[in-house]
Amino acid sequence: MTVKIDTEKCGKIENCPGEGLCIKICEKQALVEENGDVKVVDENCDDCDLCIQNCPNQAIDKS
Amino acid sequence: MSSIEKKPFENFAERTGKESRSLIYKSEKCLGCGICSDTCPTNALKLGPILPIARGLLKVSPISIDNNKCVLCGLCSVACPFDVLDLNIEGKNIKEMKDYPKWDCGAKIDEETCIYCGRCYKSCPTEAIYLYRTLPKVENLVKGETEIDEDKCIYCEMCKDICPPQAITISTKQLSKSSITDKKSNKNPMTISKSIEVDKTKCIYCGICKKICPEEAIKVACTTCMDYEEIMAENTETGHNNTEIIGDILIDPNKCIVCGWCEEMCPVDSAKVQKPFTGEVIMSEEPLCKGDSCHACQDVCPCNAISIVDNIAKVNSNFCTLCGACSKACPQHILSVKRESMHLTNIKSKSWTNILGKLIE
Repeated sequence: MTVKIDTEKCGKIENCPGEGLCIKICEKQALVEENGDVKVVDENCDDCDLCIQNCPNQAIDKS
Repeated sequence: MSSIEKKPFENFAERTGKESRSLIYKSEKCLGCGICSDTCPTNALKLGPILPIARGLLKVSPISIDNNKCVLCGLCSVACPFDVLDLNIEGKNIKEMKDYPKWDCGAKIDEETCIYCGRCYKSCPTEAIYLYRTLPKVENLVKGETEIDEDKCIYCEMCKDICPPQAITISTKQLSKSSITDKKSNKNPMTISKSIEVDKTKCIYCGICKKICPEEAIKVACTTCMDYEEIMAENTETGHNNTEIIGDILIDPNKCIVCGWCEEMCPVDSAKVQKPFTGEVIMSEEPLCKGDSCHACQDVCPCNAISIVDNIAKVNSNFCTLCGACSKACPQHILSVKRESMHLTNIKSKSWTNILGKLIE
């Protein structure tokens, strides 16, 4: 299972009501900023689902 | 979102007219458990992102209100066992009215038996306990005699340097006549020790000075054990025993969240905590707890009742209030709160009995 970000729902980090909350809340550095977008680093992800639960745009899911 | 500052009191909703009603939310004390939002019959209250709030990533209150939905019924204020919401009718809190339900929970410390050790004060997760204590004077706890033979004393200062309570002072006298000469030669002015004194308010008659004195100039006799009864019987002018620890301890009900830490830490059973619920937090084995990667439950727990042991969350029921914040924050949804009974009484209406009864099932 990998974390997927719906770029349409997410938008740019600068527009996030949580100011990139997923990046801040992930302690495994599995979410990083890249050119103003959120990028998933699969090998760091521990499947804790904190990002999914806390995304203010509900833009994160698993596939 | 983060630009909204957290206020200690928020006027959530109000209505004027024939009967004025207002709902006050004390956000500083709010645990973010969601009992109120779960209870609200009109879905006017919403629990916010409690984990980002607990981690300091968002500066908002845990609970927000939709003014268009709130009917000012007061159920939320009664459901909250932590006294965070107040519904006032004509300026009077419904919790003080005889026809409304009441929580029988809280923490108390018995002043008579408290020994002012401070263990509760140090462990309280919400800093709700205030402790003030005055220790007796050292001189009232010991008895003895010291004598220094100044004819023998060579003012070597070894007793002064080693004395554990720093009770010895040696005064010195400047020898050189002109301080100007000393300044010019950039030398310290020449001094000589001239007298030695023991401060009776500090001396504990331990005898270290006597042991170190190279000239056998010091005599020390400790009679503390011999005079024990006499020491214990001496009273001050205020009527307190000379050896007594005078203290004051109190719990601020505006901060206390009845977690049970004080009761657990108290070595003399002076602290008593009546929790709002009985029951337990249950953790299902599937899916697996993510432990150190996540620790959301630990962060949101207002009671410091959760620790991550061997990469798995452990809830210590002694400190848990069964508020349920952990179960709401867990992204794996493996924590659930099973409340068996509650200390909420005087629920008079049938609909309120039904709604409030849902807290325990």
